[in-house]
Amino acid sequence: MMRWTTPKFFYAFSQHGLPWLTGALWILLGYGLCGGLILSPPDYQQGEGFRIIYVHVPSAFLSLFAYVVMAIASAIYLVWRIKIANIVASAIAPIGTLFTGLALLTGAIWGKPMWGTWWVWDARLTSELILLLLYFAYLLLKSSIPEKEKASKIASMLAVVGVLNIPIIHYSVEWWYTLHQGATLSKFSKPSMHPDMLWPLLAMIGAFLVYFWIAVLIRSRTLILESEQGTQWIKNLFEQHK
Amino acid sequence: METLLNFIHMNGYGVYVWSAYGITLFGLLSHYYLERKQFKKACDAVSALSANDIDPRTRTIIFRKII
Repeated sequence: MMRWTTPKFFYAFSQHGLPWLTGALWILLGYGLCGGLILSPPDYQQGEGFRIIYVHVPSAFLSLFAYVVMAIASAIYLVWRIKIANIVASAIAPIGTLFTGLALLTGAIWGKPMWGTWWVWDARLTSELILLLLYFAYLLLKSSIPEKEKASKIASMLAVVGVLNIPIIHYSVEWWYTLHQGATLSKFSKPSMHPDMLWPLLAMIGAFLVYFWIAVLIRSRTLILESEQGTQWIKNLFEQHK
Repeated sequence: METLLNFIHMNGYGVYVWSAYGITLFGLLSHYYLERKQFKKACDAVSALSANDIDPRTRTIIFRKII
């Protein structure tokens, strides 16, 4: 079990996983884009403008998913002091920030033709903006405190506490009166979307999810190389490829 | 040709739809490029530490093999 948690094992594992993930990404992205832009019919209310959901919903889903994974990894680091958990949490922060930024931007672009405004201070949008600020705060803490261990501890605490914002984002459309529509997909109810619209959306969510793991693996490998520079196994790794 | 123009125009929503896709694509591609660049930089730093005699061309080959 402990072998799984070593940077050496994680590095080797990611090396084998990346080509498979890249293949899956192209397949899902190809189907998702063709289905979303060409094959799916226009929405009866939103017309062709609804096609923005094929980039907005996956970005929004990944912004929440990334934060939950980051918080879990941070909690593991705080409790068991497992180094790779801290590396994974650090690797998630930039891609989580990107997805949150994309969710807000594409949401604003969708809002203009549908609501007549780029932005409203309603519960869903505001809580998503708070999520972006949490990601920024995590990155800022990591980079601004010179003692790395102290920085990791404080940033991990922030990540764990900040996870409280996730149910607020998710249920904001039910708890408060908001301009934002309800959940597009719910695991507890039958999807209201036509399968021609639904399957490309699921493929795009899958593609974004796969890209998330690709980004996390590449970033983790960079962080491992930076932190394990002087170790024997890194020297051996580079020696054997000479 | 008309079909293609209709597809781009998207019944008046083209500017919104394409800008949303464009921003997403730009964000993801530039993120991927920056991550790869940082990984290569880390590889170079390790190569330089572990063997001072490696020339830049060999370093690129090592980078391609280990990624």
